[in-house]
Amino acid sequence: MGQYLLKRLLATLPVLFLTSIVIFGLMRLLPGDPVMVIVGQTQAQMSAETLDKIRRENGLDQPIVVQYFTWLEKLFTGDLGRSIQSRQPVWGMLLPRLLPTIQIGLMAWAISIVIAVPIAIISATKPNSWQDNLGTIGALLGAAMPYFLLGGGLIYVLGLRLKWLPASGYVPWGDDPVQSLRHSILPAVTLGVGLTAIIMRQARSSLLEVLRLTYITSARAKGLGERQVILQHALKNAMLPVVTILGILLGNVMAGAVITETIFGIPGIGRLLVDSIYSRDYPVVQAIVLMIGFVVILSNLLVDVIYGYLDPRIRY
Amino acid sequence: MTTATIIESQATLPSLTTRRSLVRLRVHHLLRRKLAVIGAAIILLEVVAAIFGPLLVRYDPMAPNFAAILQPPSADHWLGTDDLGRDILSRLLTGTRYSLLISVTAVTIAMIAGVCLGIMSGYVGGSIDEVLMRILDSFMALPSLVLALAIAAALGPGLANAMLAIAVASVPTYARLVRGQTLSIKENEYILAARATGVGSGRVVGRHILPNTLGPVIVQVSLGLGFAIITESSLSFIGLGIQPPIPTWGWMVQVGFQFLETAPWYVLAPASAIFLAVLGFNLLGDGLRDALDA
Repeated sequence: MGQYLLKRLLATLPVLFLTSIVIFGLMRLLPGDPVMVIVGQTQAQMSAETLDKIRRENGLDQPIVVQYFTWLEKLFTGDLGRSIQSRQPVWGMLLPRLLPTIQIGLMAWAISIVIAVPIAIISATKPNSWQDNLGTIGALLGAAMPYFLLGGGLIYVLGLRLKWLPASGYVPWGDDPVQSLRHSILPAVTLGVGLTAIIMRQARSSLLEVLRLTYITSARAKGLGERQVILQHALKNAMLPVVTILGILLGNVMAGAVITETIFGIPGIGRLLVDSIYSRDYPVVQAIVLMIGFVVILSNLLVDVIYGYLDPRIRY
Repeated sequence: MTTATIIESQATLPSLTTRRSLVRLRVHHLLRRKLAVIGAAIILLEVVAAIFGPLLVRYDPMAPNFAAILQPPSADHWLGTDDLGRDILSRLLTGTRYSLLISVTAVTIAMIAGVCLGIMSGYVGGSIDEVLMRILDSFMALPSLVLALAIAAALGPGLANAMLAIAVASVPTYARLVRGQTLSIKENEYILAARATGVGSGRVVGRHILPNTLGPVIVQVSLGLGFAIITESSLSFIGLGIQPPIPTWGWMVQVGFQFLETAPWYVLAPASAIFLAVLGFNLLGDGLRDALDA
């Protein structure tokens, strides 16, 4: 296991390295002189000497390859650069924004699993029944639902008309856990519906496959009740592909956070990304995109490791 | 006729007639799937709206009318009016044209680039395959929407840049799909026979490999169009798509959110249009996949 983990980690390194090149390269696609982005509107009053000085200070007078390795070197020491707008270290800006994104992402994940798995069980145990058809149609609608429509509908009905839940904003968990939870429910549901649809479809088809296997027939032949057969024998094996999907869906959660945090005015990583795009704060954009890439790559690695624990037949 | 041509022509099975029958069979399987037919009908409706909608609208989608600001749906304005008094239905129909144009162009670019890269990677193999796949892995490490956002942020807002951003973010999916297909097809005996008789690589790829990879690609195109519509709307929602006053669904949603409490129809109409379009492409994509597997 340890050897496998080491091999997988080593195989991940080139992808991490290439991802960093892709992100660094993307930010260098910017039209025009990067110094002009740094100085913004004030460049009209600046002399050529001052612009040269800024260029030198930021290492922009160096060849692109040197710039990349300097950036990479700083990255290894935890230095993500400074924001063009606020001049604050980027790392310091990211940290307080992580909590809302993680909290809402985890809630969305939990909501989707809690809803999707029971529906999948009902669908798979009664294939082609009205319950199965309803579940399938629900999953189709959920998968196509844009965050704008669901989020807008929830804000309007539950937030603005019925006033059951706050329509926008965020309260940190440490300040008031109840209010924090109330503020997170609508964005988490908005983010979770799409995930629910994908998990439900995957869990249903996986469970259908497992239920056809002979060990399930023999469990039934032994006289075990249907509930016991499903929950104790079939579900555990059927959940293996669901674990993979959960890992893959982490990317969807991060991407969805960009839109849901904008809709609900949540000060998370997604909102910071959008704000930084608006203000052309490229060191912050670069750092967030890089962080998302790294999280996705590492989650894929984690899924592989979890597989080994869930299924003892898998040998590395 | 050379031996190579004879063997190749024999290898190009199924024959043209059989191929037509196969296509008819697939279409028959597709038409038997009610959800796929519903999906196709939704798409057809959107295409008709995109082509003829702007010709049928009663109001100028760009001209403000300050006497009719934020009016609810009525006989005059079926979907209401926006914050500048413009008819939402007229803007929605005009927006359909732009949303479909961007999505179809982006998916076409992504498909062509992805198919070329996938076939090259799978057919040539070796270090070219290794390098290409590692590069694509690095792109796939980023969620497609985040990648499209990063590209659009770097290139700046606008129609062409939005298309390019969506296309680049979609290329790895097509390349991966086609590479997998190519790796499997190139080991078939008829390919080995064609190559053994001296048929050139270009001809093998063009006549044997490419046509056999198209089934899964068509399915992916349908699903990819749904993704492209969502991404285009998200880019416009964030201000990185086509710029006003041209109406796009995402931009209408973005402005509509500011008036959600007083004029919910402003968000509802374009958001529902996005939902229906994505649903249509997803239903058709699922149906196509089932029909091809049948």
